[in-house]
Amino acid sequence: MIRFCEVSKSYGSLPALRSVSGAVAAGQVVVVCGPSGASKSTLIRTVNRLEPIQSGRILIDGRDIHERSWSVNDLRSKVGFVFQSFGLFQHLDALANVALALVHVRRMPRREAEAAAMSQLERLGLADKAHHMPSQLSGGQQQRVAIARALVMKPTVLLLDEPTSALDPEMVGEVLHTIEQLAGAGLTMMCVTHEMGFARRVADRIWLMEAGELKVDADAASFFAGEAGPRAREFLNNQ
Amino acid sequence: MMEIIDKYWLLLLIGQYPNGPLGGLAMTIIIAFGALAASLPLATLLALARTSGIPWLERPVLWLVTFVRGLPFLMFVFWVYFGVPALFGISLDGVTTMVVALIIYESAYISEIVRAGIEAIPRGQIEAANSLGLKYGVRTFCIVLPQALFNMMPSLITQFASIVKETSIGYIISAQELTFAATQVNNLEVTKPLEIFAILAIAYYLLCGGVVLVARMLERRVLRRRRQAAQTARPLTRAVAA
Repeated sequence: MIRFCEVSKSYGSLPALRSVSGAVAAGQVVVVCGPSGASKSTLIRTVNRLEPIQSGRILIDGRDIHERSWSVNDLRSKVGFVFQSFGLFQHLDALANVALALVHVRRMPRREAEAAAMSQLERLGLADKAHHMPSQLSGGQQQRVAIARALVMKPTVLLLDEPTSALDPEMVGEVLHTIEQLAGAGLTMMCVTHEMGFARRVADRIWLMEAGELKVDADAASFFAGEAGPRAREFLNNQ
Repeated sequence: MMEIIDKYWLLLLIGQYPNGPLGGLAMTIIIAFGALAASLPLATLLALARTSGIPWLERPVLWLVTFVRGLPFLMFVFWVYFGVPALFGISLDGVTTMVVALIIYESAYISEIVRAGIEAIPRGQIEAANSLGLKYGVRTFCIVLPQALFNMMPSLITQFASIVKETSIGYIISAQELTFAATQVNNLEVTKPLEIFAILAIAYYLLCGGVVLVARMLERRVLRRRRQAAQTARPLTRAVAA
């Protein structure tokens, strides 16, 4: 599980996260939503230390992610991250993108790593795209390769930062379907999204952020039933 | 012109060799490619230092690059030719001087090309590499440099062609390269400088053209490999899929 304890972060004098506290239980899917500039992405980027924090603690399975004995690279190999803009390495084909961290972080022999990467691509229906370069894939396929790249490391937590917002409307469905499957499989996830229809289908809990503060932390059913307070209702009405 | 080529082609090609030192076009190629082979890795190290974000590593490299780029190449050659014996008590021959001067001078210039290439890599690529837990070395040599080197190929080609042309300065310090050989021919013939230096110009043009041609072929080959279609599936794909 992930626990945020009074987490604060600022960019220079500009506060980004203001004393955020909350918990994501194992196997739970938390959808982080809120208006633009609410620091939703900043929040999930703190979990794998892509963004440093100024105060507070973040724990994964009870262990502080800033613990000296926990190297940042080891932490990151256990926390999968999927970016809005995919982040595929443009000079490597899909298979090499997925196998790369297995070879260099997990120290797996290349053939074994490629076989593992191939089965991950197969699971996501991308076996026939294994030797395509990222530029030869559609946006939806690129995002699914990025998800495969994160999953092949067998992460304990998967973080998704607006995984569909860079996609054409017709590509969104395939990515959302993949994420739904992962949620069904019991993977702990935090997903930043503006797709409230998708949030309704996959979320166990909804976190509503505003101006760097966690304004609403409610279970998905009561959030969508309008029982999570006036701010949640107002947010839903504006969608 | 053909008469001069017919009479002096061997001198222009290999200098006095085997009766004297190797020279001519062969030595020009050796100096240029020796300097190129050494300056590219050195320039990459300088560029990595410049982009490291470590002030005590960045600043000395910045000073060095600014200093070297602020000098005319000819003056730099004189510094190496006269300065090294004065400072270290070792005398360098013309060819060694040219190679050393070119390596230092071109490393400074090429490091700026490499730095620009590294800085042009989208931030998302670095973040994606970080998020996978890749260490600095893997991130640099497997993600950043392969993309940066490919993107900066046109600038590198221009710089490599310029190295070939800069070898002609070696004539001033008696490095026995192509211009030196052409001057020897001119001294022997006396009355045909126009033809002799026209041959020299054509030789440099062909050599630089050759460098550009080979580099472009390499660039196209890399591009073709990157655009390899899915139809050319490797045996592993079939084996795993089966």
